[in-house]
Amino acid sequence: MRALRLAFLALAIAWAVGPLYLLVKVSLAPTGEVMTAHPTLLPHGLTLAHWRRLFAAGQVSAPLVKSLLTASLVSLAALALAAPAAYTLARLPARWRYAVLLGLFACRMLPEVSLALPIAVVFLRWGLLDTIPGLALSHLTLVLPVAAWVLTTSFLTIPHEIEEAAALDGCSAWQTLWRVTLRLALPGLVVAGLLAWLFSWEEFVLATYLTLGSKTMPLQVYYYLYQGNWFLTAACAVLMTGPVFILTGLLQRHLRAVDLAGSFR
Amino acid sequence: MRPGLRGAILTVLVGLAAPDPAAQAATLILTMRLADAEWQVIRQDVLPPFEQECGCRVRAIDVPPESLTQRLKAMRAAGRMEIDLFAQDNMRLQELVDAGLVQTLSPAEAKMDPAILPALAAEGVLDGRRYFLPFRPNVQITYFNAKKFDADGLAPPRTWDALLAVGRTFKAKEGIGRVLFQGVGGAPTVTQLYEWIASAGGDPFDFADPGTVATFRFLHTLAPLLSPDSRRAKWDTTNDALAQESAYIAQNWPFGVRLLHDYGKTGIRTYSGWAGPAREAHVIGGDVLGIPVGAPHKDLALRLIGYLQSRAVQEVLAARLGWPTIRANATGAVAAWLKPSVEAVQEAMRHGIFRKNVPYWAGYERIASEAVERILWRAQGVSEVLPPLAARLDALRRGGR
Amino acid sequence: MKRRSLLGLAPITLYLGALTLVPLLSTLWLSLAGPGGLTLEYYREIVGRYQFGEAVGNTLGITALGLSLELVLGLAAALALAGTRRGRAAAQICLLIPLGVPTIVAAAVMRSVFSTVGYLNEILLRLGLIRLPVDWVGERALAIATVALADAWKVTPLMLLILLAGLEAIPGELYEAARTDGASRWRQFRAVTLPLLKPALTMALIVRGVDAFRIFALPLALVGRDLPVLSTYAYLEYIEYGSPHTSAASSVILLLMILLAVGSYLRLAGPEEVLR
Repeated sequence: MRALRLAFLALAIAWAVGPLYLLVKVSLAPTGEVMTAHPTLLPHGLTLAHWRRLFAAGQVSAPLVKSLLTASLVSLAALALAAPAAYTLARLPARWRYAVLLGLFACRMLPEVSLALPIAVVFLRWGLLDTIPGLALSHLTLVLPVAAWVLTTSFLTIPHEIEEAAALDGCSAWQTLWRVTLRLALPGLVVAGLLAWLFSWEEFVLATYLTLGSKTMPLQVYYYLYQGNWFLTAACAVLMTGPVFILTGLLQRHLRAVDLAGSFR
Repeated sequence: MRPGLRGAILTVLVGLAAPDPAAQAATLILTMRLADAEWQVIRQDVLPPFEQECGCRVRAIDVPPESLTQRLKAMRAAGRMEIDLFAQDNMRLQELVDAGLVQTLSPAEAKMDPAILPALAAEGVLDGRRYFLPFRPNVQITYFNAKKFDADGLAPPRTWDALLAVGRTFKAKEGIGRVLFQGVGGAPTVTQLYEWIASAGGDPFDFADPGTVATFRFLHTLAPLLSPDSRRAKWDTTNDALAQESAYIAQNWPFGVRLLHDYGKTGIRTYSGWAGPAREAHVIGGDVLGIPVGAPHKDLALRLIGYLQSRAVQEVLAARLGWPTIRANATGAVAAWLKPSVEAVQEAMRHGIFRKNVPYWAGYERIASEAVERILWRAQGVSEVLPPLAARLDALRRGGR
Repeated sequence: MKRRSLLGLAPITLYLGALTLVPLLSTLWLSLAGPGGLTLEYYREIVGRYQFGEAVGNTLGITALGLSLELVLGLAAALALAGTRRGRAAAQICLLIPLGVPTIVAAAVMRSVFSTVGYLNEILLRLGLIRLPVDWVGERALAIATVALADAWKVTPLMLLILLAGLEAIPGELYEAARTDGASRWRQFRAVTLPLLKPALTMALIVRGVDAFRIFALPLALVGRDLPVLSTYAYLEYIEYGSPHTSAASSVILLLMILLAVGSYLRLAGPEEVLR
């Protein structure tokens, strides 16, 4: 039984990590290793030529900047909109809370294609098509429910007593909020912000509808993919995945602090 | 004088004396559909000298020919035309004109260098008015894996029967088809189909025409000999299939030559292709330049057109990409490895035919793609598939949708 | 006091109302608004097209197959992890990695794995399991399976997380009691694990199910036009054929499918599962 379990885990890990390894390999492989009927599994040579070409053409800096800015904007705006809502929700009776959260999640159930078309038409008229604020606005709609949920869970863990104690100590409502509540809810804020950032960074459907000339990173990867250029696709894809792991790694300790499993007890 | 007032007067004077910032910072938006290798040359070699000369910026965006109409319509509906100049496939022109999206050009604006080939210059005149100006002609040539052909003692096929024989040899030897047909649907498939129907003496717009039916029957026979990648093959991915040797013979535009050269695939050679039962015919595709109605920088756009048509630029395009040129006098210093394909292109151009420009091309593409998909990939019979589609095509020609 | 305390909900409600409800109604209107008033003409038009029926079938197939794969693999991985002590943290991190990979990157990766000259064929050829390269995205059934598998690669870690959390919430005493009663491991699994895992399973299924119906980037990048799903069908209707009305109609049909699926699942699983 034990051997079976270990074998299964080994296979599962290989399956999980293998394809990513292949992606990185392709981005660094000499063309002969990939442009052949029998691609090699292990690297026989390494080259930075594809990476150099990716940056030399100058085509990737604009999408990189656009995605970075959009994601950061979405992250901040999500916190700004969801935090007050979560604070309110945490103080509501449980029934109402679930009802509202359910309503929020119902919004997330809608297929993006059903929202994207009218949004694209309206944005074109308002001059928001192809812009960062426009894209951020549309990403927010899909991000808010999750942000609200995480923050509500987080605010729920802060007992009223702490806030009452702060008030007794002479803090005004604002001071309580700043110094006590938000500080205690910091892990939740970080998680919600991170989730929002990650979602916006990789979002594809809305970006497809709402851009014309200035692509985002996912669209740039798709562009190379569509054109059949394996190497630039791989390099661009690796470039796009890097920040995800870096950010998640940096903010790891906050992620563990949020007890997502608590919702099952 | 009070310092504040003096400062204000100075500012106004300086402001009046300085060149108009609006003209300096003008950004021209140009759209085209190009492969990655072609974009490199355009962006790095062709556009910068123009930007310096006119003191403006040119932003070149990749827009596939099938979405251009929709994008222009959307911009017009919103009252903001952002595109200044587009290069469009010479097959999707009538729909742009019919939708009133393209500006007519006066004789003065349309004045072209006499070195430009008259047949190509005539392409841009529709309904008696001049809308477009030539940019580059294009014709598909046939690539083949010389190593594999030599190993089996085969010669590049010059007739349909020879093609079948080559296909059968490879299939028998390897158990898998090695002939590539661009079967993804849409423009790549229909362009190839048009050419094949024309070489069989058929009418591409009539699916009941005997030549057309014969072509589909031939495709049906060819189907088992096709490489599985044909299902998804289009202009870009065909080169990959050749490079990765999942196909040994394929038709494609000449830009692939440079790509394969970059990949070090010297074993893949080109020639003009084969003849059908009636004749050898090769569709002359390529792009023409047009200015959308409401374009913000029309004068700059006209200048850019002149620049792109100039001898210097056409020679660069010929030398670096192997593109056929619109001028009779631009041969350029073609690199040795590019020469054979340039000859193949010239030979193919000699059998060149122009596609008929019709307003219902988008609908035609849909019907033709469906025919190819059902006959090639779903193994449905020709006599079962074609008649209803022929009826739909007829209705389309008479003005349906 | 009550009115002020609800104010915090105002921004989010207004925002979602404006950017979700309004576009949704707009799409609905677009799908029904003909030149002469309300009409079902657009629905009739797309339902009649031969590729539309396929798109519906493909969407259902990919969703069903994908969910099953994710559930089985996720549960197996969760069970395996829960029973491991040494190296568990490292194993868990490795298994969670695909979750962090952006969807389009996963599509790019899977393209190079499932291509006819890709890595999967290469491995199978070397192992001698196949003689000729397999066209993984050619035949419809195989293509559906491939897309489902590719999607499962990215998404199973999410199932794993949810199920793992659910597993760990089961008190150990229940297993003890079952063991002293002489129950086999399989019996324990059926009597203790599965029933208590139900809330987690439900949540996982609903969250993933809704997302699975909306699949877009993966089939587009992996197969393209050959395997239409409802989202890509709606997209291509708009961007290539320039018919916003039929595009809107397709997206409304997709929405109805999602609502139907969620509704019938909740009805079957019992409304008490909704609590969270």
